[in-house]
Amino acid sequence: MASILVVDDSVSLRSMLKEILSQEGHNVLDASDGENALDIAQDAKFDLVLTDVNMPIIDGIELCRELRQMEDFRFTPILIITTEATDDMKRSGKQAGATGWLVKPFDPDKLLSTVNLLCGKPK
Amino acid sequence: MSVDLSQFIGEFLQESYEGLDLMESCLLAFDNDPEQVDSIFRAAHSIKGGAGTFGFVDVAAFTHNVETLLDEIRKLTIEVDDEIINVLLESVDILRNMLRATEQDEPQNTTQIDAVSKQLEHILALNLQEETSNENQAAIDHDEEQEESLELTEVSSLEQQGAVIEWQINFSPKPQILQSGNEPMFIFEALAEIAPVSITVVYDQLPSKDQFDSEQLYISWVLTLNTQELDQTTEYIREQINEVFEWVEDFSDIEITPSRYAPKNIVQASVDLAVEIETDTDKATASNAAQNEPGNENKEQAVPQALQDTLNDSDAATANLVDVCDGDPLKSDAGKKSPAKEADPAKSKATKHQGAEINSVRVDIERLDELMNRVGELVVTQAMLSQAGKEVAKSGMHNQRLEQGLLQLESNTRDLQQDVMRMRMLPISFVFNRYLRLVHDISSKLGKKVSLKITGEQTEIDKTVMEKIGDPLTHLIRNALDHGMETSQERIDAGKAAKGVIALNAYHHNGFIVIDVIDDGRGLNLEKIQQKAIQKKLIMPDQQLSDDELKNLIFKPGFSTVDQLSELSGRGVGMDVVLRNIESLGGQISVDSHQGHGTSFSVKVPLTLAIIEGQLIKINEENYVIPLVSIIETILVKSGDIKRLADHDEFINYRDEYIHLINLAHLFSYEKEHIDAANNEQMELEQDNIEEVKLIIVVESVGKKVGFIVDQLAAQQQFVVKPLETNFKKIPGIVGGTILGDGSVALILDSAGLISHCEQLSSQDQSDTSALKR
Repeated sequence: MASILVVDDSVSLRSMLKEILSQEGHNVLDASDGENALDIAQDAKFDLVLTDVNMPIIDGIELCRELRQMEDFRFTPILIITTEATDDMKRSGKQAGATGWLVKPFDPDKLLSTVNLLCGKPK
Repeated sequence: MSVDLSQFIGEFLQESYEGLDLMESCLLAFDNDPEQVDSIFRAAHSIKGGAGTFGFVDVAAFTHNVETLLDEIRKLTIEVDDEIINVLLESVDILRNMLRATEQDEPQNTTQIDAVSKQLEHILALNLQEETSNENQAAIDHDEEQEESLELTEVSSLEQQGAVIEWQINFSPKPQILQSGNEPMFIFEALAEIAPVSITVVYDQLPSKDQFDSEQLYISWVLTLNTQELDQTTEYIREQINEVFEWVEDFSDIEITPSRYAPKNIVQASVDLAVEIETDTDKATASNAAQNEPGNENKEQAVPQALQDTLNDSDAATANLVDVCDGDPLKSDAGKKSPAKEADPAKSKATKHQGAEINSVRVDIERLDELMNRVGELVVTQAMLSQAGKEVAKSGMHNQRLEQGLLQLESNTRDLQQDVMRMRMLPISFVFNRYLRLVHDISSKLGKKVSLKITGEQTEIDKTVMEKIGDPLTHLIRNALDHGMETSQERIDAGKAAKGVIALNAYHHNGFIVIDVIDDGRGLNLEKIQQKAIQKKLIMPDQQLSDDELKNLIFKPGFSTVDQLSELSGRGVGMDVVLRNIESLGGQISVDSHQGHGTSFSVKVPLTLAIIEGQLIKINEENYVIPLVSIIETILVKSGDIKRLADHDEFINYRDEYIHLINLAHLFSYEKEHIDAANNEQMELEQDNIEEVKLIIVVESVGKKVGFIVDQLAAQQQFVVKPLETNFKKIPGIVGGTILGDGSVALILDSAGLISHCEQLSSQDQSDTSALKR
């Protein structure tokens, strides 16, 4: 079981991710945007961060950059969820310190196998 | 996968509608602000993402076009003009319809969708033509494409040699790869899922002990993937391998080469290694297999199992490394708690509202209604208990604990009631914001220049009231646009600004919410109103009416000053319907106008429908409640001051104005004897010239004042309204019932309804009496 932070400004996407991941036995916290995620990140540690790109105030790329500056998140896998996996996007994501990306729409199985890839299989 | 995605669809739709509303309001107030563009883009983006996830392919496809256009706007390659705004607004409409159709399982209106899609594509195509200058980028793209095709030819040429049954992967991560969150062990695991892997560790780059940084990675690997047993094409396997290394390719040197082919063994490519340790292939594979079995491996051990095996097997030189690894370099961050160095209280406070969402819960309005009802019952019970407590106290049995408890119960009940009411409150901006679009659309259709100025949109109002206030307000605004506003030319000629303004203000006043709709148009033409009223036989040609009375004629059924019914406001519904809607909410509407300067309507509605402020009265020893909103004042009138016209019509002179009196006891047909007795008594008294005093409540509705004759005044308080319509048919003049503290029931009167009911009665009476006379 991993503890995962889900960041997305869409409530429905967020609750869906939460449901899928919790059913698999993961411990999920969610945040409504980058700012909110950073607040949460001050007080908690995670095995994985899943974040949307397009969010108000602090977007997913910026969030990556900020998280990487934090002691607790230097090595944490950060997965970017995006609708367009363009080369530009991938490049800026990587430069910001993202571990990888997941292209929306994704199917739940793909999501889970990717999560397993990043924080190991659930026990 | 057992998660049922459909359970999130409702939430997605709700969110998408909100996103569309946001897009719409941003588009209407568009001023090229980059943040605004971002908000619009994000809304579209979320809809697209969600639609794709939930399988609404057509919605996703359409949104994609919208998003592409918005992206170009964001990148400033397309300049926004009115045409683009209009197309985007239409797109918002289309999306709304598409989502609604999806929600209700109805077919999509494809012709409409196609039409707007074409417009979007057209704008994008035009832009593309202009963009040809960006050749550099195109050249780069081209290069990349060529590279890819080279790779492909490589593979296919290899294929000619026979199927690849073994791959060698030289994986040399850069020292800082761990900072990207990637973990080589998981990569090996993923690889092992494709086919059996054997792993060789290369650690010639290890620095000396004092230069060793535990957060860097100094080792690289040679992986051999045995795909002999796989029943897949070489190309497919290569793609799968590529995918595994996709995220780390920027942080490592990766060489993926076929090392063995099916028909014959090809000499293994030599690898340039300073130190080479061949792992026990069986062991590494076994450990990989073990990892596939849940519960078989201690995951907390961060050092890859395969790596450790390798290291243990290797010579003494590696002991050093094992120590370091036991120090857990990968998780070295785990134990430390970062000081909150990023904390910037001011910053997080400024954006607190963003985070607020996470602390809120969506509740079905029905549940709130139920809760409200339950609280209503509680209020009644509490009132009963209070009453009982007082009776106990009266009988001389003082019980301090009981009295204190009852007082606490009362204050808690009141707080609870207010809390629940507050839960149902929403800012009126939900209604107001849609008028921005309305004004935009209608004014451009009419060729008038009008802007809508909204103030007090944060004023909160009960959701039910808000739902019902929408239509009347829409009508008032349409009217203002259609009839009130002049064309730009007319306005300039009249010495006004070319652009008209409709102001929408909301504010709280005495427990009511007041909404003003004010235009600076031409104002009401009283002469024209009078002529029209005469023509429609609403008034007599010789009737003298005050300005106020003339203005209020527009609320009469069947009144319309525009000769031709226009497409917009004249849909057979007039101001009388507006009036009726507002009155059904227990509200009031008044009009003020100055010719040439504009018209203002003031709508006053209660904050909630569940509770009313009322005056308890008694008629023939029975309780009734008159809503406070309609009461002007209560006066005592000497019987002698009551003037009688014809048979029963009674009037008094109220502040220099003759107002009609309605005897409620008479109206509600209390036993004839009682009334007759009272009348006889009154006659006698009058004959005796002893002046009897009557209690009269003066109420007002639509500028018309009427006096209700009642027997007795009681408390002025809040009443929990219980609708009667669930069990009885609608009775004109009665809005509902309420339960009083002593458990008895009182009917709540509707002043406006009573007045119009009496008017109908008296006109019937007149025809009855005239029939009798004949």
